[in-house]
Amino acid sequence: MKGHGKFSVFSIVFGLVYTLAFYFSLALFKYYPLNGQFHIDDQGKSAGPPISWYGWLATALIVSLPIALIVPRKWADRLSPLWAGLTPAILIVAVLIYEKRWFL
Amino acid sequence: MITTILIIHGLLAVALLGAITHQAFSTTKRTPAANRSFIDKYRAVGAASYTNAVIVLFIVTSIGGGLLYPQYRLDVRPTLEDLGLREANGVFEIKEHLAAIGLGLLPAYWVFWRTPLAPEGAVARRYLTWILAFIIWWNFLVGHVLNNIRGLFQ
Repeated sequence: MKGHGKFSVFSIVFGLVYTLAFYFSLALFKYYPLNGQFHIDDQGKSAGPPISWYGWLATALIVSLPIALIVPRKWADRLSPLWAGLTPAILIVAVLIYEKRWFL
Repeated sequence: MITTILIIHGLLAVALLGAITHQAFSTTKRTPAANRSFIDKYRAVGAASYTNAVIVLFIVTSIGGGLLYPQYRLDVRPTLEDLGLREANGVFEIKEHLAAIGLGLLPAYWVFWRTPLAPEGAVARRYLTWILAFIIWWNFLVGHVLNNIRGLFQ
């Protein structure tokens, strides 16, 4: 199937990078809703609880977008369409396994 | 303002749920017209026409969720911790990760549903659509349970 490659590469890399980013706590920035501020560095307890989700999304986007744009179309189109479907399924299973810590 | 966003977020999620469920069922095997049941008719839709609506609804609903998140982090999550409802925070953590994975897979989902539909993309199309359906159903149900949790677990 021609023309799917770059889109599939983006989706695969985005999911992988997001999952790694949250697993290793690699957020580009954190949002502190108590004072409504974004910070690159961790703030003290007085800043309240942080939200890393926006930062993980941004991390995934800034890695996956350039890769999808740079990868040559010929190479990307060689990727089996199956990987575009399998990768998110594998990532979801990984997330469910990791997050079972909440239920133990 | 938060209540308004929450209601709009919920209504958009209902529309998204309907669209993705129709489309997901349409990727399963069809039966001949003479023997069609209600389920067969349910899945006999022009599935590709749902694609752009699903993408727009998913993005807008996720933005709504992102806007509601600070309030959740400050008010709801500490309440759940005080009530000892650790599992409720767990299902929300899964919800946020699934939303992110769902956002990421939208470009692939779009390209495999691009018309004319490529037969060699059928398996990927089916996988992506059912994965997206799983994500949307999970997030919808978790969102509703968490929204009503004080009434459910008194």
